[in-house]
Amino acid sequence: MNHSLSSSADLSALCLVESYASASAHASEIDTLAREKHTHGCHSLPPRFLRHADEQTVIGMHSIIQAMAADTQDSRDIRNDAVVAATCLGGQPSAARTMIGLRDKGPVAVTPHIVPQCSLHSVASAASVGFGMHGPNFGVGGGPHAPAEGFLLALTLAPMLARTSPSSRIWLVCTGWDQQPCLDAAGILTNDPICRGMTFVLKPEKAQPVDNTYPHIQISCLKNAPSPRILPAHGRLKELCEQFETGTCTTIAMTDTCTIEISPLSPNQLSSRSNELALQKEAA
Amino acid sequence: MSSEQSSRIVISGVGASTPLGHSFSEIGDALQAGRSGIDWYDAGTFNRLQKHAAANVQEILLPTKTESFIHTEEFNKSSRIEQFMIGPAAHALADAGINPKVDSLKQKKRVGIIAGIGAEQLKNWERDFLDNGHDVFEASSQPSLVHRVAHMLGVNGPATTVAAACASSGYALALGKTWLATGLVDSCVVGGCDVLSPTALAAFHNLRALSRRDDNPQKASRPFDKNRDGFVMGEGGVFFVLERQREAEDRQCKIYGELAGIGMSSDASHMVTPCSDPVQASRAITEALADANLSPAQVDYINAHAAGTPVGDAAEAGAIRNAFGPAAAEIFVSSTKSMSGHLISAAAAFEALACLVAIERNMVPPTINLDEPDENCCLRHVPHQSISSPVHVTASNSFGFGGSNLCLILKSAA
Repeated sequence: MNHSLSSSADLSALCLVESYASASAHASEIDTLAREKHTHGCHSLPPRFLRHADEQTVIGMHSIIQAMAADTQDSRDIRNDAVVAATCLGGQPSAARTMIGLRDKGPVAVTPHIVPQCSLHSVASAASVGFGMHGPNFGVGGGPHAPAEGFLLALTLAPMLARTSPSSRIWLVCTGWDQQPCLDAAGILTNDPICRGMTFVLKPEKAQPVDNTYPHIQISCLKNAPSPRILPAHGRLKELCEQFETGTCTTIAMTDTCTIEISPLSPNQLSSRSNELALQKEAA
Repeated sequence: MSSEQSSRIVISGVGASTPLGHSFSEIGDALQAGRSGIDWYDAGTFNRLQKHAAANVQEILLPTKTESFIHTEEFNKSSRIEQFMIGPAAHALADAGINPKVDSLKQKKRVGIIAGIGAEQLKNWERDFLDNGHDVFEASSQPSLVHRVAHMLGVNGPATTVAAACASSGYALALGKTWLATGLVDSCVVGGCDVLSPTALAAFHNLRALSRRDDNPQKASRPFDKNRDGFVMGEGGVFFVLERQREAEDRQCKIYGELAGIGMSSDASHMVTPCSDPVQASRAITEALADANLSPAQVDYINAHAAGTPVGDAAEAGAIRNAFGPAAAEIFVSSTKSMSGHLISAAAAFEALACLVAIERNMVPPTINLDEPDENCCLRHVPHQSISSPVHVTASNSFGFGGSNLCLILKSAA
């Protein structure tokens, strides 16, 4: 088998997954979720922070709070952490309503919130502003390749962050709809799709982790590397979420010579996660 | 050549379609002459004002030497935002002497692409909606523009879109540098594009971010001036080819400059308003200087983000003084947005191009309309006219909604 590895490839592009959480809600539930208090320990969103936010921002913030709760490094300072948010077709319902307003009432009806709240950077910026993270924040993707691009750019940022702020981590937030919302001519939803968010708290690492079973993600420049489960770069967020949570090692094929390997949650994390889910169900 | 020199990341290809011109030299001439690209813009039935001042590109032409990537008919059928990406990206590759369709097979070169576009879907939905389409009501999951263009150009490496509002294309350059430094690709097309649209004009106007000085469009963009009252929107596309110096020199292509340093931070203060505390913005500048291994006094020219907003310009002046310390009094500072308008997602790439022009011509472009500098923006300004001065090292600042701060250090590759 031909394993052609770039001579200059720097495999320091590796991150440990120090925490992970997912969240999902039907479109009809998101308004209520936006009004909830988003708090964990000393971290909390300012009151009414999400009142103009897009659905994917709300679910993204919710998954961040869940990841904070699941964080093994709970007491760590997050002030210099970075946020990378990969969203797929964000802002659609708000965009539809804005355009109906533009057509029917003219430009005076265009909400100024459309720019900060419905752009590709909105989820990342909301996380940075809301939780006080001063590391870089940017959005990635926009289309069906968003989660794969999110992993790639989080790993791209890792060596840079390791150099400038060695104790900082990267909060990778992937959001999207299982099925895109459908709206009628008045901008009212005619379906009730699920909006999903996954947050990975990533610690850039220079060397291979000693215990290779510790969950991690890394770029591989190996060509034709054997892999148990290969997802295409445009794989759905739901599938990625299921594979990660069921303990399946996943490889995302970015190109012929670039893959991203995502090791699954460790048995401990899986069991604490199933406890957490059971508690959530009980509470519900 | 030392190993440090050979691993430097340089710019070996440039492509642009902007309100100030469609080539490196044409844009350079406009910047040197202090010519404004701002005029009246008619958004038709969706005008928020009777007349808007904006930096509009009248005609987007398919650049020369790009016929191996796209035919004129296909280019003409594409939407404006597609044209602003396809044309400059294809031209940058042709300028660098790279054809991924051929090189990836013959030389096993891996070419990547990173596009800074803040609201691609919004622009696509709007265009379709205004043409009586229904995409925004039942959106389908089509690949992003960057993937379609990557396919068209034969780019075989990773392709992605990044967004950090008005700093988007600067992030594309910064991340492209890292792709090269980590060996993920052999060359990378990086830049950004944006288009004027009724929704964006109305939203920024309703946000009170745009200048209301619509009686004389060429005078509307007034960064650092006491009487500034907002920015002027523009549109365009600017893309570069980044690669390692030794590979560019092997092909004997023109090297425009080195991308020597990058620095990034977030204000974490407000979704829209820039933070008046300069600490985080100046941290991005300090990190970029450290990344380039340069001291503040070694910088010859700062291309400021300064868009002409009352809060933003003063905050940036504070960040520059904070980061550069006493050296700030000696370094020329100008905002080319006074001439180009604010190209939003493409702004940072355009301003990187302005820095490369400054390096090539040993010329500092001016801030036109700077009649009365604001005392809160005390810097070594270059009002009205460009000046001749040696320029080896430049810093280009970009700040965006959501508190994104970015600084790029571009220097002469000699």
